[in-house]
Amino acid sequence: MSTPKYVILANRDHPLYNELKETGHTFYDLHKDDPFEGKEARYREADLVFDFTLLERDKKEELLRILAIQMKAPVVSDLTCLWGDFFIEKFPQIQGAMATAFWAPTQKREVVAKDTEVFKGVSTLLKEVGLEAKEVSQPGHGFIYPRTVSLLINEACLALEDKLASAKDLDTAMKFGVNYPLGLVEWKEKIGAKAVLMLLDDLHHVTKDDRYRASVSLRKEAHLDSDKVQA
Amino acid sequence: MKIHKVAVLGAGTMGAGIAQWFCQVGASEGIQVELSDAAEEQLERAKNNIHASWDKLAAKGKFTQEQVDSFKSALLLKEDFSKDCDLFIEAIVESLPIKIEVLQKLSAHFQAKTIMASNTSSIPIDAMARELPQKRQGQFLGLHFFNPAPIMKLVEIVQGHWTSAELTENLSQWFEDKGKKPALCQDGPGFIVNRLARNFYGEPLRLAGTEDTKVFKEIDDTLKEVGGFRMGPFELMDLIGIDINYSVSESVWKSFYYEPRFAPHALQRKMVTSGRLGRKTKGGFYEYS
Repeated sequence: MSTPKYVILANRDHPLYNELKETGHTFYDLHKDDPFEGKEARYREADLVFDFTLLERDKKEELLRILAIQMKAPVVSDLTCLWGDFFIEKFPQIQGAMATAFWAPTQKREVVAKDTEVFKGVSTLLKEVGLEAKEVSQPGHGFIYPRTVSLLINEACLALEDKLASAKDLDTAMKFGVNYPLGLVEWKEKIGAKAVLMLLDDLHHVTKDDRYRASVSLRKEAHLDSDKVQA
Repeated sequence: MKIHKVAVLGAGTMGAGIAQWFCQVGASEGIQVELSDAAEEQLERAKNNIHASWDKLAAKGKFTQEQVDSFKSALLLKEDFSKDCDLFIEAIVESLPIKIEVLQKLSAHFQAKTIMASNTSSIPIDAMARELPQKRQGQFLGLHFFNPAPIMKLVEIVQGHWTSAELTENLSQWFEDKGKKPALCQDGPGFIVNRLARNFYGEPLRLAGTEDTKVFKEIDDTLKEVGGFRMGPFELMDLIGIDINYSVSESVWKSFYYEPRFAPHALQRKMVTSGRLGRKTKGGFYEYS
């Protein structure tokens, strides 16, 4: 049996960037590589193309449009922070979607696959970076875990803005009152404010529902983190 | 801070659990725990349940017989509390007028230095404090325990407008020394847990949208397997009681002037109006035989 040929596209904002780079598969860093130049076009021979970019809606659409023109292999896209159902319908080459841009306290990450071969491929790659695929029926908008935990984290940020309690006390309460595996403030630190904000902003943009309006402190933290990365 | 005598009013699940915990952590240093309830039979039932629980724990080797005997001696059933209690906690029905009436009566009964606290989960501490004499307001606060109180480590220490900051700090230290995990917070709707946890239910309800057991299970399984939560939201609502969860959701939502992020979901109301309240009715989001 031949080794499957995977092409990985990633950007440095993605939490799995470093691990993916070390897998030995064809890897493109979209910050510095242009995989679509003729001489670089090794993806044409791929069995699966993995898109591990953490991009806002417009940029993700642009990337997927280019991929649709440039390649024939099925794409598995990380749609953690976006409206997955919409992307899957709009871009038929997406044969699978993953929610790997959110750190989680377990090794499992949500995966949607249109067929068993694609699921097998995603499972294989995730295993190489120490993760396990948890198959779900649809990505919805932000999958199940990222969407739920984003709202919990946002509320913790709002509670801090209200000076309801200190970050330490908020975390103590959730860990010892309802047995959460982490306090919500420390959970935000693990995932990163930027990814949480990206999902909340996309939910807010699409639904126009103010329940998804991100807290000012979360937005500030996400922007400060971005500035740090750019610096 | 020294606490020698604790008074607990209300011998329901919470009051009995709180009294049990105080006996367990305080008996060895001579702390006495007075438990009272308006219904005599409820008080007797609570005592029997607490004693049975200790006997069971002794049989399992969690406590020695000597410890259990000291716990039992520390628990006193009372019609009227001693005036010289150091700490009083009310764990009675969640009704503001009833709580105010009881607190006013007991404020006049207890010595001036008695700390008075409410175990309320939904009533603002200040709504009770404002009805107390001025000299008592600084000594009044919220002490919100979690069920089962002898096991759950959290106690939310709620600082009202008039509560002495020194008191909450000292109590926080006292609870920590006794093995609890205190979380100090201001007097806001739902305090910490009942506010921050709302969307553990609200968002999965929106993800599910309609009644579909397969979807409930997928959400529950994913939040446990990926998110590391001990229970999924739907099985947890079934355990808590969908009616109770819905009522807390409504209360927090109203307290926040109908903020959309706290809005209850139509599916909750549908379950409540049809009487499918969870495990206690053998059916809720899931069926139980």
